[in-house]
Amino acid sequence: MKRFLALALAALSFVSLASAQKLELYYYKQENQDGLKKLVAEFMKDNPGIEINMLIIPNDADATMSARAAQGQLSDILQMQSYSRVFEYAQKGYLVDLSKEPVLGKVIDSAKPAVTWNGKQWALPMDFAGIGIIYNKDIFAKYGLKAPATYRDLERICKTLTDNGVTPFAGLLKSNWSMGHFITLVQTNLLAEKNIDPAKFVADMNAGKTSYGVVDTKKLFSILDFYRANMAKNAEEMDWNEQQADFANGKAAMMVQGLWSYGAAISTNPKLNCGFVPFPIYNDAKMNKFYADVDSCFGVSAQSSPEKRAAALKFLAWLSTPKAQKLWVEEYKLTSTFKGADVKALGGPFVDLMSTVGANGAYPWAFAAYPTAVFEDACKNGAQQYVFGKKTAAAVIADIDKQWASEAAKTKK
Amino acid sequence: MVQTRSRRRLYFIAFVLPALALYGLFFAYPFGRGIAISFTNWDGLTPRSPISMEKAEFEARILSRVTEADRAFLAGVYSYDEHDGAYHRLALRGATRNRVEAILRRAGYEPETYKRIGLKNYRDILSGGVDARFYPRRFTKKNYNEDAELPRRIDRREYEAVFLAKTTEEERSLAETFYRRDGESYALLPERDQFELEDRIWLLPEVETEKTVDSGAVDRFISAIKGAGLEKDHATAKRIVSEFLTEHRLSERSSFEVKAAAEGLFALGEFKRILATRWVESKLDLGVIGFTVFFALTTVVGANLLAFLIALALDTKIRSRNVLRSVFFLPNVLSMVVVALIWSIVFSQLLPRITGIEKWMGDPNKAPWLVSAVAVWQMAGYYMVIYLAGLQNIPADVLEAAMIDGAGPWQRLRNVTLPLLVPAITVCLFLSTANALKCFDLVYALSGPSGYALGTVPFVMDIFFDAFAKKLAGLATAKATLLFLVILAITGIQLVIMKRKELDA
Repeated sequence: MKRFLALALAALSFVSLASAQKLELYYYKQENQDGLKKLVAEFMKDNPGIEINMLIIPNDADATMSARAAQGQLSDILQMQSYSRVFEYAQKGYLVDLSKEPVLGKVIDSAKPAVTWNGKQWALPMDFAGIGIIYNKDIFAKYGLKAPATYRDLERICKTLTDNGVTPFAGLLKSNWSMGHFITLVQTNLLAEKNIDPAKFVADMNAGKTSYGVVDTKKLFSILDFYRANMAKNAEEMDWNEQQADFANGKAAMMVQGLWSYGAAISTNPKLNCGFVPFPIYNDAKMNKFYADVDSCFGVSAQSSPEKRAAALKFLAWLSTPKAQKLWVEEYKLTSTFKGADVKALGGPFVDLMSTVGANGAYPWAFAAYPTAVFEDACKNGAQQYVFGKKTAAAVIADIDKQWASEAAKTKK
Repeated sequence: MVQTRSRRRLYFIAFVLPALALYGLFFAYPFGRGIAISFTNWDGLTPRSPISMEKAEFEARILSRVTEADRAFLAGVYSYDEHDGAYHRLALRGATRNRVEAILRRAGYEPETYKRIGLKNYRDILSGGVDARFYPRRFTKKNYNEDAELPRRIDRREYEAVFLAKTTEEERSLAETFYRRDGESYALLPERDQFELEDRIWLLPEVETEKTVDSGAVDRFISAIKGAGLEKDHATAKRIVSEFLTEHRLSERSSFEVKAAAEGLFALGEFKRILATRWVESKLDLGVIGFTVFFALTTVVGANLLAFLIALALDTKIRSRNVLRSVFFLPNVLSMVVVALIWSIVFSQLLPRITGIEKWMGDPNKAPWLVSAVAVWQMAGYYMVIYLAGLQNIPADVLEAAMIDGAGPWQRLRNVTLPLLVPAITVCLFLSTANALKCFDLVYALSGPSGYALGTVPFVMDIFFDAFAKKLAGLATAKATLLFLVILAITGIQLVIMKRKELDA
């Protein structure tokens, strides 16, 4: 009898397993994986009929995702970076059109351009992120410094810090992505003094009507030089880990980073007291705004079976429930693009970000809208090679223009 | 041993056929597909059969051009969705996928970014049409950008050897009014500090406290003066100052400060331009090809020489030889990533402390050599084992006979040991050359993130970057095919030459 019961139980559990809809979720954010796992586990508790397996390929998420796409083995739910990546996959037909999904109605309107291609929304924007200066309030207080509002302030802060033997910026030159962010941050900021809208700039670049050097390039590269000059001497050997370490242990007073790095620094040194301000490139304080935009979003693979697609959409819809939103902020520790989201739980720098952006607006992440290869190669490698002395300023601009033209030619029909 | 025919057939079916099948499935087929991709402009993402397509386009470009049977097959794959008026398909696998692609090919359908472009990829690579950093080239390294502040300190050797050596007498005397020797570096004189000069304007009461002059005006004034300074344009500078002074009501003291600061800022321009044009170096960028060749040459020679010497030493009867053999082989057991990590720590923390030289891996002059050195250290142990085996195969009586004949140690090595060791040398040279040419992991882990800036990108890493960051899968595959042919040719020639030597011996 016992044996029979056990068998029946096994059979039952097998049946229930078989009827569960198994989905695969592909994600790239590797800083706080446990947060997302908790979120997904909670979703499965609420929806017993759906099982989600999570898949991450650290460090080269994009290469693997495109290889899988080419094989027809894309996961059902895809965490992607906003703009270009979404556009690329939407254009090739890999994504489900989400325009008519009710969950998109709950997203703030300013987040939608990040996932809109051809007038339709192809993903659910999830978190807002900003790149700026994360600074150590205790070091600033020690030398009587205030958070910089203008470029001159920043120059003065760096001078004071250097004179006192503190490295102003924790450097990160070994990998090219940080300099890639930085050069586009400065370039996008500089568009403002010429009254050029970043979206129009990207469109004009795609049409071959303008140059990356349309801004004040002397200022652009002198800011790059200034940034480099205020790092440690061996910044060329410093990668993300070294940058975090130098900032967390107080060797350096500031780092130019996104808030994803704040989480890492605070876990190294929980006593860290940080603030977050825009990287000021103008001497007119009003012109200095955060470089902030939608960072990640979730898309659904168009090649999954209709049942799986339905289950995936259910997950996206669930993300907008109050319970999920709370988990998102408190466990996944990211901001939210849903209307009326409350991010207080994230702590100081995040509140700085959301309140400053709320008050002054922000410059959009133009780099996310560049053709992927232009950002990956001409911008990231170009800026890195410039600080290594391998490329001149003129060559950096010329190479970005050249690669952009050839990428734009590819997508034109 | 004589075997019956049926037994030989059995062996063929049981062992050779499966091996051939696996070889075909896992090597020949993907290899063939790779070569096919190298003739296209594929971006690595576009599927060869569209995932969805508007009804009108689908009918005009595909359905109207295929046979009845194919149309029926496509109908089973593509389904029409009237909500968006387009045909869609789900993921395809195996035979279905091949058949759909074949049908579309017959219909003449080719996606824009998956087109056959013949030999264009190969022509581009061979004629210098791909990125400049692929080929060796000379470039001018500029150490200073004239739009930036003058550096507060410049390393002494750098200043003297690279900058001062190129200046004229006149420029040198100007330089003396800017930089003074201070220990092992040259320091900018305080009165030439741009930040301090600018601060004389920024800290004027009218700007700092009374705020009658807004920061935008100060900003524009300072940058205009700096611009005039670079051009050595006295007249413009004078005009800018007098305009600024008439436009803004400043106290007498402040006006004096503005004039003095403007003069100081103006004077920086002339020297900035000299520093920017003279503090330059002409350098050789090995490029991807150059570095691959450099890496192959240094590691093949280095690793084999080192391995041979260690093997010779350990072939003697020293006491700890068994332990030492393990010790020297150990680096080879470690994963490349671990090796890279260990050496990164050595380069970034240990060596700077011991030698006082700050930059190791971050210095483009040293980086290629350091990468090669680590590779030699890692590979030598493996070849040592092969050489050791070769040495131990040399019969002791031959060596003894040579000794009795009066041959010294050098003669024995030159005329007995080396000729008998040729088979081991052949194997080692072959393996090390092939490994060096297709090296990826070690270099990627050691200097991957700054590869292009340091000039340490081996061929395979460049292929990887082309395929996945630049989305040029077609070009990347063409490069891979070329690399294969080069490795085949070099190792082939090597084998032929060495085999001949073996016969002679």
